[in-house]
Amino acid sequence: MYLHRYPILLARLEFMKFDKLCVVTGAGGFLARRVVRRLLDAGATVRGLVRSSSTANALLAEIPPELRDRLEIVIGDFVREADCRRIVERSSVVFHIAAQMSGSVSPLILTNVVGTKRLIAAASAAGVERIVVISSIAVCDSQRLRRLAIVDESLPLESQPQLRDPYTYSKVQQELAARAQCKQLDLPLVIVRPGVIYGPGRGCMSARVGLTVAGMTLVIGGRQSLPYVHVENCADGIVLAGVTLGVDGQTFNLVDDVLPTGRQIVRAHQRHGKRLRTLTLPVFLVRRLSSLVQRYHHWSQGQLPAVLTPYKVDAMWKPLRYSNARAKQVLGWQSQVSLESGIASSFV
Amino acid sequence: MSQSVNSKATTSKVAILGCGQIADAHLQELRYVPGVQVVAVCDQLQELADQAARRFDVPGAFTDLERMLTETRPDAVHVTTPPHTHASLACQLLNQGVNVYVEKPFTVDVAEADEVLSAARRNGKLVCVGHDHLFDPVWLRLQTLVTTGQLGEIVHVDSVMGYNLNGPFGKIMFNDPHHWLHRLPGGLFHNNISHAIYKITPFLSDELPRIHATTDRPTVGHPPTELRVMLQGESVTANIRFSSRARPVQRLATLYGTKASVEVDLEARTIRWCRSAKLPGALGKLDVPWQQLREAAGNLRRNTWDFLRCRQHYFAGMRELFTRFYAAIRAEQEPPIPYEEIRRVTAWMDEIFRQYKFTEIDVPASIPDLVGQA
Repeated sequence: MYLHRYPILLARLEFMKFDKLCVVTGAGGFLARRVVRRLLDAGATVRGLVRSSSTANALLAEIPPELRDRLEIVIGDFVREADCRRIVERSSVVFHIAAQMSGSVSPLILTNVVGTKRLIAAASAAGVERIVVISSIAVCDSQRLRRLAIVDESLPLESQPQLRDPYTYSKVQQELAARAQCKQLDLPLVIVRPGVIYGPGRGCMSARVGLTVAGMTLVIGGRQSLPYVHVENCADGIVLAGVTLGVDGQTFNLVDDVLPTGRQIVRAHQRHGKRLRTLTLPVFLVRRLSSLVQRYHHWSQGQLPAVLTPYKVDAMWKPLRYSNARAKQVLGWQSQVSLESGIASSFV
Repeated sequence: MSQSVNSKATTSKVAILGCGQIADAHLQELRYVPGVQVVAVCDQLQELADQAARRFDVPGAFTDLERMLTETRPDAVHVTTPPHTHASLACQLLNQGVNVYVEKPFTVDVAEADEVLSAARRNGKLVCVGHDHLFDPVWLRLQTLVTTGQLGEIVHVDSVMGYNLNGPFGKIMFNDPHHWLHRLPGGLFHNNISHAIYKITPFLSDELPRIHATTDRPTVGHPPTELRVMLQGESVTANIRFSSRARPVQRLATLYGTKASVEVDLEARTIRWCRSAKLPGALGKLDVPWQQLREAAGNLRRNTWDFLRCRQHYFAGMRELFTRFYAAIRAEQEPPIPYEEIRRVTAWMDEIFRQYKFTEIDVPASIPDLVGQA
């Protein structure tokens, strides 16, 4: 079932005789378990870190028996230094995919920043050849970009991440910390920044489409391209970032070739029989409203949270173009799953 | 509204020790407490101290407590670290002449509480605990009803505390078998039950009432999450219901008095009177709902008015408690929460956890390390 999805990737990995010991954190997750499967198919040995036995069992159930002897599942937490040391031992490449995605800032920082630093320290001490850290395209500083400007790897990191959501803030801090520490410890680092990852089991609705308020989906803009990447395409890119020679120190944005708009996502939901009450609001109007929300938040001494601010609106919904050129040119990555079949798969 | 943010005159310098989730609430509310300036945050992890300092515009971020005290000389420090560290840190701070605000639970047990309270008395400094629901606007209204005798003599109190295990803290705690919460004598309850207890202590004056505590039966890897406590004092009784399964998640207290009974809903910030029919027979079945409808309209009107005047902050009780604590420091008065109350709450918790003995079976996810082997 899986093999037909990435024949080119497998051919490359077989050609390279990629049979190293790879560590994958968050191995039972939506994205990471696909990375695990690709590495196993390619002949690598994989040590997957998961947090609970139920996740471990779910992962094992997905792996064909003939591949299981090359899969070691470790239950632990990469925020704990002892677990970090244990999982990176004797490994060659670490794919750091695990992340906390919701919650308040301090637990996000603890997991995504402190945990990453501890993993890097352990990987360096264990003589790991490369660590691939999965960031997010949200960390790109698009504030100063004009409408329809191109978002690519040349953009600096978000300059005022504290004005964004807690997750983005933690991912910016994670990238800064990873770069600084890998440089200090001389550990080769590759950063991959996927867009919104969608696919089977997760659906394709996200905050990039709009907000859900009292059961109604407020579609914001609706016509701008959304930085989406199908989970299978994303897994291909991450594996390539881990195995391609000569890319140490580089960053790769991963978005699909053809990007959906908010309207397309909503229509797809309706086509698949999902009842969705929607109201489309133009971006300029939402920006005005967000300015009022921000003012009210300050004036009322925080009686209502500043869920919308002009800064957040620009970051989330300003019409921009997203480039995947570097990943295609340098990694030889291809966006194999098309938009149409990708969206269809997300309703499975 | 926003112009009332901290006046610079007679400013108390404040520091936060421990930059976890609850520190955010402290930093947010301290912005609006008159005469207070947050000068530093401190955490063992530089990353946590830095994020708090950056997000709340705090000038100093430290990882070393001594250094923070030397360099910033705060008048008060808020201890927002895990509970098992409260006592030693509070004593250390009090001994250095700093007033201390300790997040709930005050300490792990009453012996530690006594140490902290004596350190406060010995050093002539104030210590306060985060019993902030007592200063929520709706609880202050209830106190007025009680002190003006509108409820008569209180004979019984029901205190209900709901907890959402799917919330941000619950998820982290349950997914991590090494979380500090699992090492507390009362586990999950230890971190939260004080909120339910301190709503009873003002009405049940016994030093230590008869207590009967029971929990749901734990299984391996699944600690108990339901706690029921019956308390019998000399003249007043009380019940505590801590539930993480019941929905909706509630924070309620019902006071039964000899003249009238009321239910205080801290989530909705309303007071509901327990009504009886004034009309006879079947008409009474119309009368009570009519009275309830009028009362609901009154609550809606009051809450709307408070909303329009920007008085519906989630942590309004915390803000009010901070305000009174710093006013007491400046005026060299008694702290807003009497030390005897702090001690009694801790002693009752000790007794509850003595009856419900936290055991190895309660630690979640005790699982083998290696599932598959390469």
